[in-house]
Amino acid sequence: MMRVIAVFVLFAVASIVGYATVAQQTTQRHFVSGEVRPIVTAQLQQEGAGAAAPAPAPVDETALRYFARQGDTLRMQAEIDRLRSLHPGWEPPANLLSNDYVPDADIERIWTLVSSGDLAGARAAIAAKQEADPGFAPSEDLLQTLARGEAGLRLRNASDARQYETVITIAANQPDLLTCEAVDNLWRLAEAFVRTGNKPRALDAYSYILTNCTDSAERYATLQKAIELLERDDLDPLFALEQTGADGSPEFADLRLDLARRAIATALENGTKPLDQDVSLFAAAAEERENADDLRLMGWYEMSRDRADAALVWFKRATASDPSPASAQGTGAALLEMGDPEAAEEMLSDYRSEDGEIRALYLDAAAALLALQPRIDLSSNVLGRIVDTVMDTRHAMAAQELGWYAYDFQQPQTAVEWFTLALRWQSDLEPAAYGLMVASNALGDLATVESIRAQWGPRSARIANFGNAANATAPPPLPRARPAHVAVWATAPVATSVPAHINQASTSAPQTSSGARNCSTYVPAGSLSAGAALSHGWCLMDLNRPAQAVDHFNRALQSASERTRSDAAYGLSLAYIRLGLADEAAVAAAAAPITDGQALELQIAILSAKAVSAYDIGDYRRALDALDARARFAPERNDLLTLRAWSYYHLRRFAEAKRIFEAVAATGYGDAVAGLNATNTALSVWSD
Amino acid sequence: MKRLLLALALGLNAGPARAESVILPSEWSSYLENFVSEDGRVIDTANNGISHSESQGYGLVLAVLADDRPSFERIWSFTNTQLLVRDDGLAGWRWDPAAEPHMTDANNATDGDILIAYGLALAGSAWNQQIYTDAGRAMAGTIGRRLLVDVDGMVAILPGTEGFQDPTHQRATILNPSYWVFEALPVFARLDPAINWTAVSESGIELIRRARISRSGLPPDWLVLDGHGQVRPAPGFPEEFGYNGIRIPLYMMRAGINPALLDPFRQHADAAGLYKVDPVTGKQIEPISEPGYRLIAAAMECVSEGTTIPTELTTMAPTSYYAATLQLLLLDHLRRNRPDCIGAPA
Repeated sequence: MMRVIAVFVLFAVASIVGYATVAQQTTQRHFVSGEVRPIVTAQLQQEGAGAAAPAPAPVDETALRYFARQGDTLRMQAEIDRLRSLHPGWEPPANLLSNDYVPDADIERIWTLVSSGDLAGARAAIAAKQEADPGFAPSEDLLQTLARGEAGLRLRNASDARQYETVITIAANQPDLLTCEAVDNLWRLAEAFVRTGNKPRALDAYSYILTNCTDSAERYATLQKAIELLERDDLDPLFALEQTGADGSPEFADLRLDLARRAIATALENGTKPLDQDVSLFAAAAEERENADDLRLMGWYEMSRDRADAALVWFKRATASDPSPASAQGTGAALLEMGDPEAAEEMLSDYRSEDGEIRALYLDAAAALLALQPRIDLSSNVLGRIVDTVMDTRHAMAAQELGWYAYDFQQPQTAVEWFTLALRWQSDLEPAAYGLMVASNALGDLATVESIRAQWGPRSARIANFGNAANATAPPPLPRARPAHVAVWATAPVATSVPAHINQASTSAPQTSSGARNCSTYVPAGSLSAGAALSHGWCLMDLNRPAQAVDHFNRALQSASERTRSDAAYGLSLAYIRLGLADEAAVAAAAAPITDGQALELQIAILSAKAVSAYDIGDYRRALDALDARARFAPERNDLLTLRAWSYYHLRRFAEAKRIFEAVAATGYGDAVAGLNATNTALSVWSD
Repeated sequence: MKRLLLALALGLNAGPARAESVILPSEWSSYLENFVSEDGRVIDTANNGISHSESQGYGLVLAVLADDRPSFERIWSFTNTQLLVRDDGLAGWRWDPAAEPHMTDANNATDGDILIAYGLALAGSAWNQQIYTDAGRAMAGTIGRRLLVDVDGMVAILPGTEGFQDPTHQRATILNPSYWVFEALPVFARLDPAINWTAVSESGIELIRRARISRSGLPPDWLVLDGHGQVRPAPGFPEEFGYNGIRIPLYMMRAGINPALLDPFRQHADAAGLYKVDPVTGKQIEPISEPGYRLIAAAMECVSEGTTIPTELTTMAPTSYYAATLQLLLLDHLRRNRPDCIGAPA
């Protein structure tokens, strides 16, 4: 077996770096077992001289008898061969254990040092004995044993110090280190091959172990190490060497399952797709073993694939095996995703004080339940626990949802109280401000309506335009149909045997078409996956609710997918433009890479908005600057040409104003006619 | 025999021979007992009992000077199996018995590598062992090819492969003049003549010369050359002439370098010993006064002025690994080459 490995490693090493390595081996051989050669050479000459002398020195049989007493037949035979070659005609004594031979205590002591691992002491003892007895020659076996021990130490130390080329060189020079009895050396060599970019040779080393070595724990550990260091696809040839374990099942079954579990957890983490074989293996094992962690992991995996109904089945199995908060959390999330907030709220209610995640999910379910259209009359029991939780957590979003709920049941005074509370908890919550406006209006409290308009108007078009029939583009805020509520939970606890770093698997549902979705019911952006939030954002834009869309696009910007982030940045920028917030729009456009076409469109729209807002505050020069900048990208429309002309007018550049007003009025654009008149009047006044 | 060792140190005509030691058996056994473990580890007792390539290198050199081949074997076994595992064939510098793995820094320290290679070369000559000569040659060649750098037109010794050069930020290369083990360089020149080791020696002397025009006249332990080629303390290192630098005069005396260059070192030494000195202001920071260090001060006075060394300093005092090492190296030199300094007939 040793011979086989020697050939394997030498071939392997030579094939990596070719001649250079072979040359290095030569140097290294001197270095590692270097002390050997000159000593032996000198001693052979000595022996030669001794043989020529009339009275040959007696043969030193100490080592031979030492091995015999130790029962070390391998070393004993090697020593017999050595003595025969040194002393022609010598034959080993018939009884090596007899007491008529006086052993050399020094040699016995040297072997004892070697056996105890004190290689430095053995080297020193050999040198001391040579000084005392220049005729002494250590046996080849002793020297080889020492060299092997030293090489093993160097291999371990080099490996610990991450000096992988040294590891490979030592292994090549001392191939008898590479045996099943010292499997650690083979593991370290394999790692050195991986770290130096030679995967095929690493696979050879692992394959060697799995082909030749029989210790089941070491075989298992071998594959574990290979899994740590190699890619998933590289492992198939190693799995092919799997044997049947003592219990009759395949020895690597657990490792296969662990790999599949990792693949699925990784898929949850970064949105990759696991191999079908991994999914089916893991699903079958989860079902058979009824391990709750695995069952839940399958649930979250199905959730990430937008298959909430399948997920629900897994979470129910998990609940049956382990009726824990974690199982309830999954079940509740699946129910919410499937559009059943009533059941979700019910399922989660018992666990809503367990931890922050479950409580937040519970509040999402509660908010969705409150928003259901047509409104359902919730029992006082259900309403009571929702209110308790909202009050405990000071959850502004759910509070404003309670406001709308009250408003719909003709309790505007209660609604006002909830909206007020929501605003106190979160002062920039636009839906609450809008709700307070709507409910105050119903109570005839026009002072509050106008106060909110003054405070929020610049930030929210629907608040600015509230009550203004001509401009009422946004429909009343009353939610209609249920939205497809995608509340894929942000963190999915997965099986404990999965490495810690992927335990917090954040799921990101793939973006789906927004066409089929209905977004008229308020859904907190934070409860949606990035992809779902993006769809929801576009839907809100369709409903002309840019302020709410801002939240959803911001959520979508957290996506791991560049495509989603890009769309989100584009949407966010458009939403700000629609809100008249040009600076925010410009910042949003830079939040993620967007296409050139989108960038151009946004740039034009942002400059338009800048021109309008500069004009509105009387900064006509900046308005003209923005229009000039915009003109580099697109021709000016009539409304902007008119804005430009009015800007000239206010800057008393009447001649330029007149030229533009005339040109635009000629196209039949009514606004320009008024401008032309005003300019003509001004010109007549100022020309005097 | 005295002549022979001197010739070896100066890189002249050293043939293989067994050295007759002038280190007394009692001194050497005291050194072994206090600083060398059974497994061949040379222990820096003042630094939490760690070892390093420098201590192993000194151990190898002293074992040859003491003509103790069994101890050499012991120290070499440890050095070879524990430190000499770097891919480039040099030694990882720091080994801590309390850490696992023991090698806590695999960067090299070039003075350690030079001392190990020098010890191997001495052993190869002293005991006629080609295998040691070959190992020393391999290390010297690696040092010559990887760790010699151009600094202001000089061939300088880079203190380690990592951390002393920063060309991307155009920072000056950091040097340590005490890494010039002058006596080893002519030996390397014989082992590997393709490298200009003479130029390395000259650079080391040039650094000491340039330091003389500073207020203290002493080279900082860690230095850089500024835009005018002047010696300055290296940024980020303690601004001091201290435990590194105090071995410079020892190396100079052992290599027979012009005693006039010892003057600045003498000026900052007195009967109480050597001092840690601020190299910029010349202010003495604290005394360095174990007997081993005081012997350096006294030896400089003898070499320069003929003042006999007090007897108590010529008795080996195993106070700490480093002081005892320097003391033995200096006693070896004085007994061979300047017996007049220690009251023996010249």
